[in-house]
Amino acid sequence: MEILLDRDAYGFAVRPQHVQRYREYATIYKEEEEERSDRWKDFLERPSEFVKLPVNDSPSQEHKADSLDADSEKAPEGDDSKEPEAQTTHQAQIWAQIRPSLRAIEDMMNARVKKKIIATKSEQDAGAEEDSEDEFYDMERSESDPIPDVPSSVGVSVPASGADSNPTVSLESSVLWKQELEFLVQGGVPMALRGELWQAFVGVKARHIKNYYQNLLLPDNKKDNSDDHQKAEVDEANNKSTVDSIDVPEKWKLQIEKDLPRTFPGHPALDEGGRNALRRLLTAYARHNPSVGYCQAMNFFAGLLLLLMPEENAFWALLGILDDYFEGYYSEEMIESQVDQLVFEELVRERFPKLVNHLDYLGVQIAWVSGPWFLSIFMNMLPWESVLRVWDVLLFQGNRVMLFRTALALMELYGPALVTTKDAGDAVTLLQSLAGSTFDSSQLVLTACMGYQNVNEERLQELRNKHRPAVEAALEERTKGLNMWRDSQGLASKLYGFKENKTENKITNGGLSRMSSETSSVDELCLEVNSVPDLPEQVARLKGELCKVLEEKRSAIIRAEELETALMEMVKQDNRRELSAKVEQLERDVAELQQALADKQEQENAMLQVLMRVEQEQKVTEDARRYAEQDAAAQRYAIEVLQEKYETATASLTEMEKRVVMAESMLEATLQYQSGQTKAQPSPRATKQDSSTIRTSQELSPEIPARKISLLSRPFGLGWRDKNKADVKATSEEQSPKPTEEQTDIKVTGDEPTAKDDENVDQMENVSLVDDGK
Amino acid sequence: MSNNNEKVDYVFKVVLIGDSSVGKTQLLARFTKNEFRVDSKATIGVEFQTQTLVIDQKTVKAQIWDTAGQERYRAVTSAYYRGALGAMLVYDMTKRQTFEHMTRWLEELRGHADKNIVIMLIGNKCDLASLRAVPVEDAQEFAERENLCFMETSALESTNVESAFLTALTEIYKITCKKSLSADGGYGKSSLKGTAILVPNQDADSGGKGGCC
Repeated sequence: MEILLDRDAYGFAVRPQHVQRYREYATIYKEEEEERSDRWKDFLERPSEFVKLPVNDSPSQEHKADSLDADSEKAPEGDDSKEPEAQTTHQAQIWAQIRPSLRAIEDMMNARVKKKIIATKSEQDAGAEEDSEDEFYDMERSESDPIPDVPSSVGVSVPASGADSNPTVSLESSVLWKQELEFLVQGGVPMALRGELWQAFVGVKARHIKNYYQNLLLPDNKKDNSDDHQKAEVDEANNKSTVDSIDVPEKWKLQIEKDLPRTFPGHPALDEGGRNALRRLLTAYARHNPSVGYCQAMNFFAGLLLLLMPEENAFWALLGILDDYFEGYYSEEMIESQVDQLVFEELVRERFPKLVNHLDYLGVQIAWVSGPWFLSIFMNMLPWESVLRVWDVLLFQGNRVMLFRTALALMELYGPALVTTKDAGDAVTLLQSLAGSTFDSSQLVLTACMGYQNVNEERLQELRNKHRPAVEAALEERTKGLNMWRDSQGLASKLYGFKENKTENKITNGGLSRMSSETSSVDELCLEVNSVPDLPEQVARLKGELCKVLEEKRSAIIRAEELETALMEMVKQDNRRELSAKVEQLERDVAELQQALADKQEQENAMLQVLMRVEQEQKVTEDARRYAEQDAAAQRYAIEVLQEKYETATASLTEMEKRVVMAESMLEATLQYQSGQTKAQPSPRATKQDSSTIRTSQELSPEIPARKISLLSRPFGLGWRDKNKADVKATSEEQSPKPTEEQTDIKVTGDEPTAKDDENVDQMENVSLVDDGK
Repeated sequence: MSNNNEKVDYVFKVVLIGDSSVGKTQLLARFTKNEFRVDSKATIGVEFQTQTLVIDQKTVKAQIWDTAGQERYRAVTSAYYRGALGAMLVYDMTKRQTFEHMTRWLEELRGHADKNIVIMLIGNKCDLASLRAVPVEDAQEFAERENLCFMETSALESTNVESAFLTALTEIYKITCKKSLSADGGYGKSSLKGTAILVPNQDADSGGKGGCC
């Protein structure tokens, strides 16, 4: 295939943002492709060395192939010939055998498929396989064989009758052979062989029933005679009102028509002819399994298969994938796909606790991203090379284990980047875009296959059984709501529809492989149930079961509600715990701050106290100073007063001295006068003898003081006293009024004036003495 | 409390629902990447995009979930309704049936989404005016009856796409503001000044702080 500008080696569009990366990897892919082609070639040729005639098919096989080819070419090609057949060469044949060199692998896989079919066949009365008598015998042979791998390994040598060969010789080599095959598949299937190998893996040949596909398309071919698909649409529109009751699968037709142009738009192989083939394929499948009908995503699977193999082969491959590998996945309720999401979430939780913690914190559910991965089997989610490599392994393994392993590998590869995201939106977008750029397909597939070997089918089944009840309960809840809605729309009687739904479910749980077929729609159920002949007999039993189931349902609903409230409670508590942790932290901070504040306040108080004390001291000193000043002032004042007194005293003293001098001089004069008079007059001393006894003693002392005292003590004559009266008064006026009184006394008692005078002088002396003492 | 590159004040989750091939994925691609893919493929399960815009000077990050339209996917997609503040209910105005299914989608929303969810009715493909099968009046009447916003858009011609999302997001913004205000009122006056309590794992903390300390 040509590599177009924005298309990869398979003709698929490469997203513009990935073109650069794709170009980088294109050369790697090419090298890998060459390498694996060689390895596969080597592998496929090797067993032929064992055997002489590897290419020669056994006659029976060849004959069968011929007849098949002839049949298929006759039936549909003839009818479809009016449609423009612009299909690519590999679709020229509508049914084709795969090349003989792959027959060994095919046989091995067919054996697996047949085993499974037989296992379910006993419960299935759908006699769709009555045509394949010879295949049935094949089945029995491989069934009877103790080791299923044996016929396949030796099948190369004698393809038609593997069981006839000697098992002991090839037993060991077959195990090795199978291991090598597995390893090769993990390494990738060569492009040239992919279509046929996939058919071999799915067991197309074992599933194939002659004319089944053609018969499914029969109504179309009758109706659509000589009309293009636009006419078909008109037809369909006309039939729409009656379609539900007449032809159940037709209700998918509208959706199929919508999705045809939206399946690998622009892919070179999906031109008009390719789309017609796609339409036939999807319609045929919807009719084959009306319980599943058509589900978006099938269009991509069918489209991919059509690119790799002839139409009828693609149909059987699609049927194998949808009915077997993905049973219950795309049915009306999509139960298994929801169960798988819960299982995957548990596995991720177990494997990547740190990542899950982070995603939980962001509020991201893993299913938001992994849901679309699983539902589309990674188509449009990963680069095509990676998708095909995953499909290689998935189809080879025959179950959905590879889905889980790949998704886990993606989580492993991109988990570290996811942990750095800050919100739910970023996380989801990042994971989507990283997955979309997983160009290193070998790394992805090997990580998935090597790293998660303990994620196996048994483990998954265990987990599925564990989670299925929850999904079914949720579905119950939903259908209840839906029924309520239908009620409001005035459709069929609710209880009836619900009852049928339930009872049919019960039966199918009993082990029908197509269990979901009975639960598709109420209308369909009514039809089917009515057509069952022994319905009356079952009614009683079913009623009992219905009651039981209703009871179960009620308790399950209650339980679910309880669980939900419990979950909400837990979530709330979780939030509360976080919040309270924060609050605690904050409170601690606040307490610390308050402590600091208190410390500061204490310090401040201490400072304040110190300050106050200092102030007080200052005040005290100030007071002391003031007192001292006052004292000083008082003293100064006293000094002044004393000075004054001293001065007055000295003044009066000098006055006195003057007077003394005067008195002395007067006394002198008087003495002189007396001496002059003595002869004439007696001395006055005789009258004053008692008072002058002391003076006489004084007079006995040395000359000069005796003279003085005598001056003072000598009684004055009345005349002299009167003369000095005014002077004495002036000097003693301020001292006290006493002298004046005395003076009056003196005046009154003029009898003893000298004694009084002496006292007066003594008093004056006393005053000056006191002043000095101060 | 902000992302490394920019501060996001609000995160609003919005779901796009409606019948298949009405153009939900194209509307989203037009809004978030301003592109229209001629080769659009059917959406399996859900797809997801974010778009950041500014409303009333607040940075709003819209998380938009684009769901598969086929009926059976509802069991899977209704899980995505939880926590959605807005829903874009899209029909194809050239296909009457997609409009008639709106009641059913509405029922689905009312059953599985929050009660206060803002619902926007969108008639897409208005570029195909000649093929119109749903008159504007019908849609308006329906929108009024059900109390929805309504707009006709064209993802192909980029008509009204941005304004439809903006209208829905603004409406959500208003409701959330009102709600957070009344919530604050209940808390007590102390928290009135705090930042809005909306981004669940970011500003909520600061709001709570305002309330309890």
